[in-house]
Amino acid sequence: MPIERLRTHLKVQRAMRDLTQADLAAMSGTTRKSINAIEMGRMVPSTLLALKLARALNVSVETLFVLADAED
Amino acid sequence: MRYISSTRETRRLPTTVATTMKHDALDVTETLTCFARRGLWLALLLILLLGVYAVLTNVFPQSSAAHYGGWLMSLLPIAIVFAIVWLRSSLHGENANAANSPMHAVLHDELRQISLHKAYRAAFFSMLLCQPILGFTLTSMPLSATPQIMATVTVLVGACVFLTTFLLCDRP
Repeated sequence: MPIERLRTHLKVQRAMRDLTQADLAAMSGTTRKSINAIEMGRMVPSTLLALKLARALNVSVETLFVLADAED
Repeated sequence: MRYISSTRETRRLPTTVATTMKHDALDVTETLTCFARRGLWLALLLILLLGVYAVLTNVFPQSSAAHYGGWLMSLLPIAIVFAIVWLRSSLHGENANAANSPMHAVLHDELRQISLHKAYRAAFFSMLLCQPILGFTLTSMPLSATPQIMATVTVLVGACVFLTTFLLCDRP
């Protein structure tokens, strides 16, 4: 049975704009620790935070986060 | 208004100013987090000391410490109410403006909220778990203030487990 997981491209998008985690955290109103946790896959952001991140990076939410099906 | 400009905008500034701005942004939130954790450690220590003192005064009600500390413990709920009112007033009104966005970011951080929820759950289940343990333990002991001891220990366990769990889950 496939298990859906969240795959994030946040680190790639952030690096493309030459931003540090602290910069992105300040732009999206969160902390560097949360940005790090999202990039490492240890935290799934809320809809609100995902939208804030997308707005800060000027991309769509689907560019940052996608569903990745994985087999058991 | 954004708290800090993006890297592209800071590139227009002299290098030292841009570097300082970026370091300032990082320093403020990290400093706020550090201060918050120190405050929580102090609160944990204070609650532990007061709670142990309260339990001991209930277990040994005839001691002189219980006699003199009774009026002091009656002031504790008043102090807690004042602390809560002061804390809420500092987070709302004139203090909660755009300049305090780092404070807002730290307090409403999602990772911190997840840690808070874990701490609430741990405290709740620990308070539930200590009820049968206290019940069996206290019925076998010749104590007069059993309900007070049970209530004090329950609150002490809940508060300590909450703060300890939160500090462990939210560590940098």
